[in-house]
Amino acid sequence: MSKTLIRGGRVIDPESGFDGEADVMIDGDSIAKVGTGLSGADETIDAKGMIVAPGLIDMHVHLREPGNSEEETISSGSAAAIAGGFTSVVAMPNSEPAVDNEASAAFVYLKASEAAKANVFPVGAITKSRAGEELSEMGLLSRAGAVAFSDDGDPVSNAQIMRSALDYAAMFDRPVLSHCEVKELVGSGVMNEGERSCLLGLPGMPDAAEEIMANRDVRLAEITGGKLHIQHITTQGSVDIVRTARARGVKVSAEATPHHMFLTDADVATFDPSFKMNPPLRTEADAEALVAAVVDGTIEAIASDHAPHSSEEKAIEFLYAPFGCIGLETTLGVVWTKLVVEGGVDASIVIERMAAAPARILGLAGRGSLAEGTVADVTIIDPAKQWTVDPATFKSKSRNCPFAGWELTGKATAVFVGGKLFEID
Amino acid sequence: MPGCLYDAEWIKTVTGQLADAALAEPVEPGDIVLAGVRTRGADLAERLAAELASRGHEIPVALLDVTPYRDDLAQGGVKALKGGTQMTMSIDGKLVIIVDDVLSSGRTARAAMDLLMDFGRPRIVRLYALVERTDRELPIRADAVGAQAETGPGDSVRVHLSETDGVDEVVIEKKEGN
Amino acid sequence: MEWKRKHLLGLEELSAEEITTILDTAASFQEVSTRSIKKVPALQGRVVVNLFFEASTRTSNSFALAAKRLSADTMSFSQSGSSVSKGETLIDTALNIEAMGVDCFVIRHSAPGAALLLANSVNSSVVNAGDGPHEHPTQGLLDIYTIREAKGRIDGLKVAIVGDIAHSRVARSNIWGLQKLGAKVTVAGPSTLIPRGIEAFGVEVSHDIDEVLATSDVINILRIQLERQERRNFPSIREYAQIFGVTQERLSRAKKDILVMHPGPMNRGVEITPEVADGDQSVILRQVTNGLAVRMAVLYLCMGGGGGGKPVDN
Repeated sequence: MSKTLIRGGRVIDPESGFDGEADVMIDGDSIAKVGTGLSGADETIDAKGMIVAPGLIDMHVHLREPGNSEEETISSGSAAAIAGGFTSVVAMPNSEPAVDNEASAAFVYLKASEAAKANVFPVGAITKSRAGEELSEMGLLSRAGAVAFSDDGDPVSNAQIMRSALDYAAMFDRPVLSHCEVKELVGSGVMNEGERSCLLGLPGMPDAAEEIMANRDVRLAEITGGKLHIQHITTQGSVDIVRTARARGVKVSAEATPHHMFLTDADVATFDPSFKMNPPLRTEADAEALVAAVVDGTIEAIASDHAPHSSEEKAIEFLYAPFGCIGLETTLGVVWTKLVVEGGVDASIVIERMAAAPARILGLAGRGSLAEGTVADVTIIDPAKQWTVDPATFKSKSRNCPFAGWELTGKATAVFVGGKLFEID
Repeated sequence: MPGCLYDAEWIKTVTGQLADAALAEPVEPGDIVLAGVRTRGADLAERLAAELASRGHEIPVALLDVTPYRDDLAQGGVKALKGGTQMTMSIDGKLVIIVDDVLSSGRTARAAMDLLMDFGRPRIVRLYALVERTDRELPIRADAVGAQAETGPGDSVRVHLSETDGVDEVVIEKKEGN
Repeated sequence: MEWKRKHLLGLEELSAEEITTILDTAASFQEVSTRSIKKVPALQGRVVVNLFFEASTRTSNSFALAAKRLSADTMSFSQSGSSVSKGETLIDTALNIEAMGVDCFVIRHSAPGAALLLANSVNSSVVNAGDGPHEHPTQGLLDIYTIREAKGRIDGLKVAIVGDIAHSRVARSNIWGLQKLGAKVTVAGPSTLIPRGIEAFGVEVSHDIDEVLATSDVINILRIQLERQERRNFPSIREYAQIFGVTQERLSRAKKDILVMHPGPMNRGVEITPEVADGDQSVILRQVTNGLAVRMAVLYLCMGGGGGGKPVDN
């Protein structure tokens, strides 16, 4: 078993509270030791000036396989993850067919191990075929390695079904990841409902459509004792709901995406479908509330909601284009630039939101941490590296990126996945 | 002549001469229609009509906006229209006198003739102007004119009329070296 | 004169001077429709294509006739339904047509931003004949022209727009144009048909048709659009007619010289009664006549000065 030493970087391990200059020794596929003046490695990586963090985990990605492989595959998605500094991604079940049975969960693991890049953890559907009517076989799915349950892409519109889901999934200690959207209120909406949608004449998606369901799910989590995680939270109102619920002791966590934190509905004025997402980009006030909540920990995790679409699909009228943008290869850079470099937020907070918290929320044992004996998933970040976002160079098969052309500071230069080194150009 | 100026008196005199020419045409005055090319040609046509009226002849005046008939619409920027054409009378069988301030390349006169043909079939068409430049580009001459100007490329002939410019004068400027 | 644009996509981006230029140019073209040979050769040999993805005979014919009055050749492509359901994208359809050699597209489409998408994809001029609820600039212009023709000015007038504001491109274009020229605009209708965020326009909002009639110089009555609403935002046509319909009785309590306008087609007996539509204060037919001159002006200005070549910065 070979030993690799990562020497002299700023090691940030939020789980243990360690933050300082140190060496990290990897032995085979696990972390052997974190300390100073370590030696005896077969290979040494000089990490001076770098950040050495537990492997980043993107807990919300869409990999489109099976069903829409021209947009992305498990292989291209896991390569894109590595390029973005992620060692693990959590794949949503809205492939075609949906991941609502053990065989399809096993398929994800199989394809991921064939690709041999980032780890891919499948999420099982809450309901069969994501149709919102009958619970999926959560027990068998859990046994097959599904780490959580979600009907993402769609909400669970029937409150009784959601109640049962939270209740039942708790038995297997799995969280329910909720896409909060009251479909009747959203209707044919394609952007945030407000002044800008009024000016543009595009049908709107009201903030209340997210908040009403977030509130519903929080109450259901409260009465069932289940674990709720609110996906892609976007409004001030939703933030307040999560804050007060946590204060009451409800088991609820939340994630925010970089596009919701740093873009707004003003960006839709050009009718460019790169800015069409569900949930939609909201107002400046909402974005500011999200950033503040991410910084103070009310929102525990940052995730990309990586949603690949082919160029043909996105190069049409805004009204008809599919929702979603990619994010695996820009999330770290955008978050680092806006929060750490421009916002003065400490790097440890970013590492907590992007590594420790996702591992904790999903119960991923041995991940999100650099403790001795844990899996050697490590991300090395150059906090000063300047680069420009050029989707043409992405490892993802898709190019629908709203940050195209952005000048960023901060990029992952290498990752270790289970002790195997991947250098990032 | 480096710079040449004709004054209001001259314009008044020429207007009178153009009226003489109109009355000398081989038709009854009742068969004459004046067609002034907007903008200054139209002002001139009104003056000519007033002069003829003072001699006892009521001659109708049509106002021509030849902009949509120009042959250079597809070149350079958009050309602003000049208020549209006003032709309330029939010109079939009439002697129509196109009135313009300066006859330059001849293209405006050609455009005016095309416009007239869209309205009817005049029996005779004449062209009257205050000044006719010698550097014409089309085979079109004025039938009655106040003065000829020996001009080449770069020279300018400008008519100012009080209705539009506040003063009556004709200014001829030759380019350096012409 | 102020015109350097190759496209007319909306009134939002135009200056007051540009709008006035279009109106003045339209005034100069007005007389062409009164001649016996209703033509001028201004756009001779140029090709104007009507690309209508939403059914409309009246606007389509108005543009076609305007083009013909300018001696342009016309072509018409109509496809209903979204481009997605047809299989060929908007851009592909347009590029195929352009490959035959055309100078201008007049596009009507159900998606906001479709005209902009087209303008960014082709070399020809693009005139927006309506892109979803976003803008219908020539309708806004002909409405403003009609008001100016009747009242002599726009500045200081009180103009009310009544009906389904939320789904109306006519309302939006009118609001942009009227405000730039100094009018005060009020939108009126059921609260469910006035969009959230309307304050962005800076207009007054009313739900009382009588109050609006009493104080307005102009009332522009919008058709209640049964096809664009996917949700019934008012309980019945009958109720709309009773509460918001403009009747002769209501109109008798309005200003004597109020102008009554409607973009057509009318739902007689719903938002407007036949007596009002055909009455003395109605300028609805003038709107149609003026529409010809306005569209001639728009085509002349956008296609004038060359056209063709790479898309210019509009």
